[in-house]
Amino acid sequence: MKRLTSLGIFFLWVSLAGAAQLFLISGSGGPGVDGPALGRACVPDLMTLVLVVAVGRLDRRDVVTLALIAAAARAACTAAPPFAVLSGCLVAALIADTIRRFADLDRAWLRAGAAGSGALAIGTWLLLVDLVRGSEARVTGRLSFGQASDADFVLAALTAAVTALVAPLVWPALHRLPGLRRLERKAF
Amino acid sequence: MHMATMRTRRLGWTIAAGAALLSLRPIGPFERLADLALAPARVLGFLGAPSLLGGRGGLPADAGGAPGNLELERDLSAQLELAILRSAEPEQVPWPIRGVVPIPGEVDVSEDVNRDRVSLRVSDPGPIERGQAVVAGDVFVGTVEKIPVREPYRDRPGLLEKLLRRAGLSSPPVPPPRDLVIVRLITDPSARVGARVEGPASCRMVVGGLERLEDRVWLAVHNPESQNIHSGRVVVHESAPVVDSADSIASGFLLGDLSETTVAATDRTPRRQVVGVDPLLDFEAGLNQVLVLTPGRGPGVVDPRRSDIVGVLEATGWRHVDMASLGDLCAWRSTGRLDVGRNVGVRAGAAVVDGVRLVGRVSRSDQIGSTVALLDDPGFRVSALAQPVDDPGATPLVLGELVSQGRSAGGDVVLRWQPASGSRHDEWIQRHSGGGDEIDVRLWTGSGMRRVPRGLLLGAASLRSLGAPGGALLMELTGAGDPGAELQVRTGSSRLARPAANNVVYAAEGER
Repeated sequence: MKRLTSLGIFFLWVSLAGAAQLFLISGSGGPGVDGPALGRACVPDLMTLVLVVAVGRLDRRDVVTLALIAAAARAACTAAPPFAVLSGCLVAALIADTIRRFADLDRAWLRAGAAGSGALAIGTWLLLVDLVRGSEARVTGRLSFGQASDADFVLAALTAAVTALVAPLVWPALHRLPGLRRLERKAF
Repeated sequence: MHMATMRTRRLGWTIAAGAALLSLRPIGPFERLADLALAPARVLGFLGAPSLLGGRGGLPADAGGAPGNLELERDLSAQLELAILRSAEPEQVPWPIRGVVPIPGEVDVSEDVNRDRVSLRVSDPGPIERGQAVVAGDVFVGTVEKIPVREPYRDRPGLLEKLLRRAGLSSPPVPPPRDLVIVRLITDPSARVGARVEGPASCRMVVGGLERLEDRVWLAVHNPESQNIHSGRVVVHESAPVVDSADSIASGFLLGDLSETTVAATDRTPRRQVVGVDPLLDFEAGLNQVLVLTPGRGPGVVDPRRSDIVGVLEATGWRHVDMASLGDLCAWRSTGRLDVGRNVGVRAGAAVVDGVRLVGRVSRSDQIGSTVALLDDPGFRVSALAQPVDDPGATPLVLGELVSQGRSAGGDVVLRWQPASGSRHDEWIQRHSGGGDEIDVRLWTGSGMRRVPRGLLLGAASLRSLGAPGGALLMELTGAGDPGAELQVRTGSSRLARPAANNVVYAAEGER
């Protein structure tokens, strides 16, 4: 029961990170004819950051569960298909877990790498799904929205870079998020 | 490594691969399962409310020189509807036609897999039969192919479908509405109609299907009587005594202008001359109001009046909603989230409005909320009509499809318009601007978009003549809807307006 509560609290933290990210995004200039949404892309991917930090801190057997929870929270903040969000979050979490497998995420560059590569994986994957679905819809005439272009990969890369830069700064704070102690790995 | 951790990692990659496949090849029941599973997670959607602070505007901006108030815009929308209903009747073709009863119909949905079919919602389906001609103004559009309500209704669910229905994840198909009619357009590869070129050197031919060229699309010409005629107005020509066809009552309606061009040689084909009919309509996105020509005795013209018009917001199926959050984690999208979804009948494609101004369309709905693609979401497509700001009762110009490009540096929504090859916008602009090549217009939604009624205001813009075909115009929209305002979402799909049955003028015998 306590474990479930901790997972619920993790969901709350990811949702709060998403809300903060949406707030920052809505205050930035949107995509436009005069140029891509560079302002929006400069907002760090806070949801991925919370997920990656949690993967670095909590029991490794919970990686999939954490990714599923992060995907559920993220799906509420984007028009991207839920399955695309799910696979993106899983890949981000598994990348962080792979890095952690070889080295504890206790150095700034490792943290930046884990967070940046996670954000890049999610961003490029969602963009790829948008491109594939959009081109299919244009052929079949099905109802579809959004018009991603190859140039938008720059946005995904920029978000990943900003996330990587921010990660070492906010990592200590996110590492101490309350309510997750029950999910931490046991010390031997 | 610990075995349990290994298993977890393997499970994670497997789920990721499966989810990746499902995101590229969506399968309906799985999507619904995902929505159902995510429903509890979306209760925290209210946390995104602070994002609304960035999107909330002030009073609605003025759309075209008039005070931006709701009553005025409703009135303008009603005037537009009246002008569209009137524009369905021919101007050049002799009208009314003796022994022909026109049944008005609005194009309901043209967004579908088969672009050579459109569905109509007609005012009186009773006299309509398969094969009857359909016209829009002076132009021949196609023939009635199917009246779904008269087709045998079959519902034989398989085992999986039965299980899904029992679990509430699927539902039986809804019987088609009584007033629905499917029209096969003249653009369909199998469509054929007899035609002739008007003028002293008349030339008969068969027209139907498409001739695709690099920068334009023509109607294909088959078996022309003469190879020496390459220009002239092409009209339907099927005389009743020779061909026992319902098309024969559409004789005289226009198809387009006969044109000729040279197609350069490619690796596979040699250089060739192509003759085709440059259509007078954009069949893909330019159809709004049409008439089905039915034989019989009865009302020969439709004469809609202002009192018959049902306002765009008075029609059934609007529901007040609140935006729960604005913005999208994908930087290349501009979306918002509504606090209602399938639970109240909101479906994908539904219009979201601020007054009569279109704010966006629902791109996805789940059990407790829905995602809205906003007007400034790049790639947002909308079928549009233009009407002069100074003359709201004028016959509107059918623009066809506009595609959003996002916002300009000044913050206005930018829409891209590429006129269809047969567009007569130059003439329209000159007529309404007193000979000029630029005019201020209000842009309205047209027909053919699922769950978006005709007559919603997009905003005001400046429209100018483009000259040669193939050009495109970027229009900056002022007075677009505010996603932070009080919103309504469309939950119904009934017809917008219908002239009253007693409001028709009977055809004068012997007019034609």
